[in-house]
Amino acid sequence: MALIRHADGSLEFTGLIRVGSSIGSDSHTTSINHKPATKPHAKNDRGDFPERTLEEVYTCVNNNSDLKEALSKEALSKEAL
Amino acid sequence: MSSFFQSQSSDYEFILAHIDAFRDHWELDSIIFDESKISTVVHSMWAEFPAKGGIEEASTFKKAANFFCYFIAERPIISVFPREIVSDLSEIENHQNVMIAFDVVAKALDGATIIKSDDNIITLDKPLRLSLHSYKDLISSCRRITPSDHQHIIALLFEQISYRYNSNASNSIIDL
Repeated sequence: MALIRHADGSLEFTGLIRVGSSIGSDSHTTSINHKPATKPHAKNDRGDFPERTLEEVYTCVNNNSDLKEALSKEALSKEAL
Repeated sequence: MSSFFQSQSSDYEFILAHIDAFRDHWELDSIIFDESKISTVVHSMWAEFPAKGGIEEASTFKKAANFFCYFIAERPIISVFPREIVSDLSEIENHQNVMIAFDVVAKALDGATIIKSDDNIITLDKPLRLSLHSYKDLISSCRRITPSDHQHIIALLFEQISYRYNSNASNSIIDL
């Protein structure tokens, strides 16, 4: 895991390299102008996502390696051809 | 402890943690990303949510689809993934953003709750599963999606994949 919690409460993700600035994004207007329309019909089902700490996010993401193994195996077999 | 779509600030941290966890899991040395685009994704997926009643009344599938479409359209992940790790997915334009966005969605929906219109609460206790073939088709098909054109069909896609393994969550089925 590469998540560090500093004493001042800030978080550091040591494996991530940031470019750009979190303030003043030029792309913001583009996204808002392309927002989807609200569907006019039907009552919605509501719902919530499970609560997790950030540390549990790492555990959850690392919990299953089927896809990683399948792609790695395929890459190896294609390389061998 | 927080959940996805709880607040904009916690969503920002949640998404960064997920990107870094993805890097860790796939054994990538680093991932370069555009911080301003992550901010845009978070702001956009909350703004004027496209469902009756807004974000508070939206289903997990609609919320997941809204995130998914904005993330892929904004393309915040700059690093591309190497062929020796993701095989021929590396040749697909924007594969890195689709792969991470789908991973965020799949993990967020694992254990999510649905409150049906009759107030019955159902937990999605079985994770999303796909064949490798379908997964590759999904990555390729979604590489250029936009919120305005695809949010609703992506919400339906997530719902149907989830209902395949959580059939108790589906509304009653009718013959067509």
